[in-house]
Amino acid sequence: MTTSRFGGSLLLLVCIVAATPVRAQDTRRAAVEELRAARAATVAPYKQGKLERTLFYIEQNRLLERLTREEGLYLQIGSIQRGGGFAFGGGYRTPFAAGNLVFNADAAITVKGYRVAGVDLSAPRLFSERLTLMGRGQYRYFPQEDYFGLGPGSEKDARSTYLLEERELAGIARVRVTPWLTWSTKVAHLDPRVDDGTDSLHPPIGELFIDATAPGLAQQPAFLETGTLLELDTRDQRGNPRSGTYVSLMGARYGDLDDLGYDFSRIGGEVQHYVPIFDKKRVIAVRAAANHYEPRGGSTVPFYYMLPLGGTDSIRGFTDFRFRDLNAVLFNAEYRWEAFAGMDMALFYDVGTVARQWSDLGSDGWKRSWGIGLRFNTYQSIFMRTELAFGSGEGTRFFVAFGGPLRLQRYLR
Amino acid sequence: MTGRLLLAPVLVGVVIAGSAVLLAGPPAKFYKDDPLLADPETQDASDVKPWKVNESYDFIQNSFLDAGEHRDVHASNVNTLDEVPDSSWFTNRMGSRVMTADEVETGPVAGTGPEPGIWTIVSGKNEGITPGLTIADTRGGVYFVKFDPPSNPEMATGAEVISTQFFHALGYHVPENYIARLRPADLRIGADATIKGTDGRTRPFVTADLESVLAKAARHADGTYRVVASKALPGKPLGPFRYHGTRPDDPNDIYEHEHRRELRGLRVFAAWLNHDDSRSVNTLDTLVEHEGRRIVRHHLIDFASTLGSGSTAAQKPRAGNEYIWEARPTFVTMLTFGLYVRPWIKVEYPDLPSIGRIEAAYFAPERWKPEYPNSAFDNMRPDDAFWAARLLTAFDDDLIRAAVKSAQFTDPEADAYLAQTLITRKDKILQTWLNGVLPLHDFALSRDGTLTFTNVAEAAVAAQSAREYRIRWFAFDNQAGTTTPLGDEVSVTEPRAAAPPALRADAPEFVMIELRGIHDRHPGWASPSKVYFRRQGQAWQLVGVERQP
Repeated sequence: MTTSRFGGSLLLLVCIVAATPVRAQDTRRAAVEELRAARAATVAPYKQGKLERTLFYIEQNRLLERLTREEGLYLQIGSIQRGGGFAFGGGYRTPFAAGNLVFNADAAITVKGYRVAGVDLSAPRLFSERLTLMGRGQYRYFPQEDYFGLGPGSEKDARSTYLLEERELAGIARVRVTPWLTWSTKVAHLDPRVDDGTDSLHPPIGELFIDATAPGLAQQPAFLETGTLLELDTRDQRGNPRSGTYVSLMGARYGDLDDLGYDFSRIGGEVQHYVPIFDKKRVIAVRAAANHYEPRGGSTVPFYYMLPLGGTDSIRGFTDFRFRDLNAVLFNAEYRWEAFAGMDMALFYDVGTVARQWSDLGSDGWKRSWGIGLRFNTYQSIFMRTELAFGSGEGTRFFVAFGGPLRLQRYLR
Repeated sequence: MTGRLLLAPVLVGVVIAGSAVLLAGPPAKFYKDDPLLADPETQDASDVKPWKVNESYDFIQNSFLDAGEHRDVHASNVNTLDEVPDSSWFTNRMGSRVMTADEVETGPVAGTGPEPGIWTIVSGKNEGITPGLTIADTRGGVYFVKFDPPSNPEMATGAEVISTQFFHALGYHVPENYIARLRPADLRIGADATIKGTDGRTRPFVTADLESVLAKAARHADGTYRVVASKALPGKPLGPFRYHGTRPDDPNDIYEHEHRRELRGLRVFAAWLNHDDSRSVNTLDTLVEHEGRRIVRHHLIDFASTLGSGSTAAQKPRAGNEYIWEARPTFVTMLTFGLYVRPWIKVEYPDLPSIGRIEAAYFAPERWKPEYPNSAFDNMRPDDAFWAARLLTAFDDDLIRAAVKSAQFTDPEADAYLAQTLITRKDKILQTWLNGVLPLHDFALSRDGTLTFTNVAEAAVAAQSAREYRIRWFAFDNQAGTTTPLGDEVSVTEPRAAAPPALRADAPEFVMIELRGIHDRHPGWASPSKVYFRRQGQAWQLVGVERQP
């Protein structure tokens, strides 16, 4: 009896279940509700993939911002000296005294063993930020610098390697006369040391040159550097200019503090001009630069302080530091076009030379090269470029460089 | 014995159940509550966790990794009328009723904005390209304050407010944005005010931070700053939504975003308003109370990069014309040494700093692009575009001028130029996107069996009349999904047609009407549209619209 009742009840239950329409919903609302109920049973937290995790890590730890950050610990990658190889370093910058003073310390090393370290203290807000005062100490260790001899006729095969180690203590004052006109002065104590370089691919400088052919090689005095720099700058942005003009004029005196016969003066100037076309998607850039060293009272200008031509920032078809002498002139022209927002291309032509006498510039021929380059950039700055240069007579040259072209070794580097 | 007794009813039940399955067949096409006007979001979403979207990853994923599903399928969240029901994503406003100019100009604004007087800084943002402040007014209202760039006073704030009004009127959830004046003397740095330093760490907000923010802002001659004050959205912020996939921890998020009609159709509105920054980072989900449960509401935010504004400068000429990365023009430009000049580079713009760069002469709706691919936009079909374009028809010239007026430009020339530009862009959009399908709407079947409809494109002067409409009537079996012809195809030249005698004699429960338009210039009109009516006594209720792209 009990079993029969149970069986009957089960039959009734099954029949009720079976009689219920398989499409349990009579309404759209119920149908949608059912979908959502089913989803509710399977919801799960979002899981990031490897790429997304990596990018979040970079963002959350501000790794990119640390390359350009204005305070705190920061990273440095790129270059610290032409030909010095890829550099990696870091520093610490902190404003204090309500932002009126800024302390900075940094250091970097390259894959070729180049090293720099520095510490500086600056007051950037004086007179409504028109005057900046800075005191700094820097140490530079460049173990694989190249020297080919003096003059435009120096031989490519005479490439030698030398080490330049330098300590600098400097005071700099910079006055912003107008937003586009700046005047700076510098007083510095320089303590250089030159020795054979460490580049195993090339002979050390002492094997190929003597003090007569590499002035300053035998002994290096300490210098007192006093100089001034006037800059007119109407470029739209410094890191990747597309319009405007930059003009600089500098003069400096280097006093030999050890009376070893290396007193000299330097004057130089540079003009850059950028002509935008099509809303700055095309740019014609030209640059002219000149430099002159004047030995004082029978002194000599040490080779390691001469402005070199050749290489990634001047005549690109030649090796870095290919030519040096007391006088130098340089002209560059570039036609740049934007391929897309993150990359420009450029056709370039470089010409320049060096000479003992100003009047001899070009008499021994001009050094030329031309080529094509890719610039990886943001609108504000170029962070890397590759160039392929031809026409120097010393072979085709391909190189990767950090930062934009048309950057000469700055006086107030 | 007991086992047999038990087995018998179970077998009988299984047989009956199986029969029921067979008899039930496929679900009916129309449920009794169709068309659904509101999407029932019935699951509690309290457990949804805040997330972030990495901008770089979003760019890479959408540009190179083929984010989302790219399929030519009908939008998945529309109702049987091919319309978007109200939901946490969208509220029918302009699409369901006539909005007045005052309503459009008011937009989502429910209050009066930040109270003049002392504003206390709660936090600051000096990272990225757009600096800003979060402030609390004397009434405790919290607002995010954004500025104009020094080069373009009134531009970013104007764009923000105008686009807010439009997107709100169109149906999207947006913040309340107010134009306000900031007087530096009225600012106080709150005791607990913070800012994220360049090291990524949060630290106290100091005077120098305020100076840094204000240095990047347009200062007016009287020393004040025009700002847009964006009221904090109600609910708990959950981070952005993506334009593809679903939020995996949201139980109500059952439709792939790239197949949502309102996100596909957003491409039309983004093109109109040059919202090139229509990407994930400019959206925000919040957890809100709704009908006794918590659900995720989805908002569009940050319209500073719309119209002619590029937030911190005038909009780039590329904006709207080319993705950040696009292979073909890039390689062509590379290989031709720049002799190939993208045509949009040569477009000229008027010198109106408060407007920036937006124009209508070169603008071509079908060519318009956001900053990088958006899978919802990529999936937009002609029927999606028609849905959006039809909403735009509700904006007559006066309404557009009213929305532009909300920007309070001081230069009347700027006001007039922007309004006219938007009117012209709208006209181009209507011509392009109303005509991809047969642009009929407002279907009605009267008791006496007269079918009437409106040709939206014709009404919007985006097309001339059809040469004829070809119409076929069918009895529709809702359960079986089958149709039975009711007479032969008829042809009419006016937007009305009488039902065949067979319908009037013996009216079925459902009737399906197939329409095609014949137009010399718009072949898309020939794709059939199907409309469905359900008999309710002597009357007919419109229950279904299907537009074939």
